Amino acid sequence: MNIFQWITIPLLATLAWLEIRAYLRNRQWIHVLREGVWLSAIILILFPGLTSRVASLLGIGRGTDLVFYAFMLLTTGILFHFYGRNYILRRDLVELARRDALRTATAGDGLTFIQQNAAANSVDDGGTP
Amino acid sequence: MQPSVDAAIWIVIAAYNESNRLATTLKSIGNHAWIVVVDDGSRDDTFKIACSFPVWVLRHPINCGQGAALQTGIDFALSQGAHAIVTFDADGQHDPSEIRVMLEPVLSGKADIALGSRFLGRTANAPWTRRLLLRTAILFTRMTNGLKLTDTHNGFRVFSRRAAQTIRIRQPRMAHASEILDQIAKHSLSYVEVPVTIRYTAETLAKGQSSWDAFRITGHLLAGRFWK
Repeated sequence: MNIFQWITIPLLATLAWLEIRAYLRNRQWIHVLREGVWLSAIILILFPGLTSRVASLLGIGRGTDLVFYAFMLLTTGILFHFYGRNYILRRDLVELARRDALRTATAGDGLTFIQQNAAANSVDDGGTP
Repeated sequence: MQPSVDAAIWIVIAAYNESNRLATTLKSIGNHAWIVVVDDGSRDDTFKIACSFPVWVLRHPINCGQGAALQTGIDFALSQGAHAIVTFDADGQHDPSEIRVMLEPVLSGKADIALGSRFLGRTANAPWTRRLLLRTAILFTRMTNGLKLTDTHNGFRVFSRRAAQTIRIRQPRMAHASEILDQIAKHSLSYVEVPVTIRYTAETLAKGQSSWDAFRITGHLLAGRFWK
C-alpha cells in the first residue's frame, strides 16, 4: 500500500462504519446509498487497475474518465437532492410568513371600528380556511 | 373613505417595493370593495403607504413571492367571508374601471373564475418580446393542461368563494399563474376570459418578468410536481 492508500482507506473505512451504525439506528435508505459510495471508493483506491478494466468493459477507455463521469453523475444527484430540500424548506418558510402576516393584520387609516373587530375575531378564530 | 359596494367583494393586491405606484393604484380603485394589501417583505415604504388608506394591510416578514402574497391575501379575504375575490396588480397595469366587468360572470354564477385577457382587450406599449413570451406561455398551457386561453399570465382575476377555497397556490413566485390554470383544469372549475386593458410603462417593464424567467417558471412548475 502507498501513502495515499494508508491515509484514505482508514478514513473511508471509518465513514463506512459510521454509515452502517446510522442505518442500524434509523433504517434510512440514504445511508445504504452513501455506504455504497464509501465502499466503492475503498475498492477503487485499493485496486486502481480495476477502474481501467471496468472502463474498457463500458467502452469508456480510461479509468480516470470513468471516475470523472461517476463523479459528475453523483454531483448532479446530490444537487438535485439539495434543491428538493431547499424547495420544501422554502415552502415551509412561506407558510410561517403567512401565519405571521395573518396574525398581525393591520387596519389602514379610515377602516371602521366594526370592520376591524369583525376581522380580528375571524383571524383569532383560526384565520385561514 | 368607506367602501360602499358589497362587503362580500374583496380585492387582493400583492405589493413588493411598490411605494412609487401603490398610492396611485389604491386611489384609482377607490371605494369599489374591501381591499387587502399584502406587503411582501418590501424594503421601501410600501407598508406605510398602504396603511394610510382604508384597507387591510398584511405584511410578510420576508419576501416570499407574488404567488405566496396572493394566497395570504386570499386566505384573509376568505376568513372575512368574501364571496368574490379579485386579484389586482399593485403597479397600476390594470384598469380599476374593469373590475365590475370582471366580477359580472362570477357574481351571476356563469363561471367560477374570470380571467383577464390582454389579447382580447387592449394592450398599451407592450414590446414584441413580451408578446412573444406570452404567446409561448399560451402554447405551453394548452399542451400541459388543455385550457384554451388567450392570455395565461394575467394577474387580473376574479375567484368565486368556492374557487378560492378549492385552489391553493403553492408556487410562491411567478409560476403561480400557471399553477392556478393547472388547478382550474384539475378541479374542472368553470372559467371565462374577459377582455382587459394592460398598460405597460418603462417602470413596470423593468420590474416585470424577463424572457429568461420563462425557463425559471418551467423549472419551478416541474419542481412543484416532483416535490409535492
